[in-house]
Amino acid sequence: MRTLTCKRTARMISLYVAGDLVGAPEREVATHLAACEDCRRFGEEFSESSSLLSQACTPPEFGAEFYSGIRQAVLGEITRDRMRSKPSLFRPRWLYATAFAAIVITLGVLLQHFVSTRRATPPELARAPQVIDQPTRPSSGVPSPRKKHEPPRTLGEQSNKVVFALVTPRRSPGQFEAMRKSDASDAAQAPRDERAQIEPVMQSPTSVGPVAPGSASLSGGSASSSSGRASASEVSRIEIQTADPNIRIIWLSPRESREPETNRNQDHPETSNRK
Amino acid sequence: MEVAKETMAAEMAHIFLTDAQEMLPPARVESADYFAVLVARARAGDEVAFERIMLATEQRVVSIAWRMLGNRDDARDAAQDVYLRVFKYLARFRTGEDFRGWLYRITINVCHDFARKKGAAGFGQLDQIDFVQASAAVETVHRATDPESLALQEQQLALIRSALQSLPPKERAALVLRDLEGFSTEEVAQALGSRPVTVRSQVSSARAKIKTYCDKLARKKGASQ
Repeated sequence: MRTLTCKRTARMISLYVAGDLVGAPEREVATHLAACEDCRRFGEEFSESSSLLSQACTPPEFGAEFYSGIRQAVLGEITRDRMRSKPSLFRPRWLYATAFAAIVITLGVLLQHFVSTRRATPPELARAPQVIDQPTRPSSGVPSPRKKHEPPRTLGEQSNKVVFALVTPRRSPGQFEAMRKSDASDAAQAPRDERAQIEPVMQSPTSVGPVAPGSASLSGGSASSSSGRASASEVSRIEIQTADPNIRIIWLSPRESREPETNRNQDHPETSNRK
Repeated sequence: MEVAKETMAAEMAHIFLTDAQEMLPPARVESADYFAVLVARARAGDEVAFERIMLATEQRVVSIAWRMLGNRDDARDAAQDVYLRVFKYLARFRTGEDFRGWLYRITINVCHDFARKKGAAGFGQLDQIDFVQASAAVETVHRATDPESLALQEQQLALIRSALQSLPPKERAALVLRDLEGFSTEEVAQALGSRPVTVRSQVSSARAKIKTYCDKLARKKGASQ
């Protein structure tokens, strides 16, 4: 056991007097106090001040009414607080809150409607012509090459592939009527005549402008006629909506075999490159 | 420890005198489960359970508040504030924690808030206490017989209480809980949210300051004679 100095004992003596020291420190302080008169007196002073403090800070008798008053005050405050926190639909603040919520909901609905309309007509679509592909049903009943469950292409997809558009002078309604009638009767019997009417439109110098390149693939399905000529058994109808809502380009073209189309693309290398 | 036992016995007596019919058997009052049940019921909105909690703890809470603040009115207001806070934050009380330790921590915090509101005008520093007046009171503290001596003694005790109030808040709280309320060092540490070694240091420092104040009183007394 080590011997404590008076300085170290003075630091520990308040804990020793109050019984806070245990074990070796307690024994060391006790040994030092037994040998040191000054430290022993110092410890007695601590005891006196501690007892004086205890005497000074003894709480008075408060009485049952004092405690009852505290309880009543607390419970009364709790009850009042609960009453205040009960919601009522007829209080003005709830009316204000309801009106505010209605305004917020209305504004949200209007904003959503505005955003949805803005998304439906992006600026590039407003400039580019709108292509509507409506392949005519083949008279022979052969299904279209487009799959039944294939999702319809959106305008955005079409607009991403826009390369050029057809801008043709207005045709006389009689020309289209003749095409429709011939298609309805038998497309296989007069395919060359229709091509003769339609091809000049594509080769016309006025047919330059952006259009959806998918229009060729989107055109109607193949059909085989009774005579075995598959390219003449179907007529595709392509409607192109220009930026002007009053102008719609309707293009009726017979289904062609792949060979002549390839040959024609070779004749026009610029068009084949774009595809 | 004896002080703690006496206080517990006083609490028990107070509980039985105040509301003998509603209280649970005394064996359950001592246990932490007693408070756990009451806390659970009070959380569910049972005001009777909360009143029982107040009955079981109000003496100790008022005692701590009075020792921390030094007067009766402040102790009453602080005790009311303590129980309102307890009710408000009862949902935050973690199950399994010592409820009384949590309650005494709230009590100490409320007393600190009260002392802070009083500010500098509330309690002076040790050096500002009138030692001449106090030394005259010290002279009569152990042998007061006549009314004048009793009044002087009461004045001296009030000055010692003022010395306690002038301690730093944490040291004052540690000294009140450890020396005056009779808590163990670990209990004080739990109530103050600190470590036992910190509490020992705070208590030791507070005791030294109180002793220094008492020494000054004794020196003034010797000089006046």
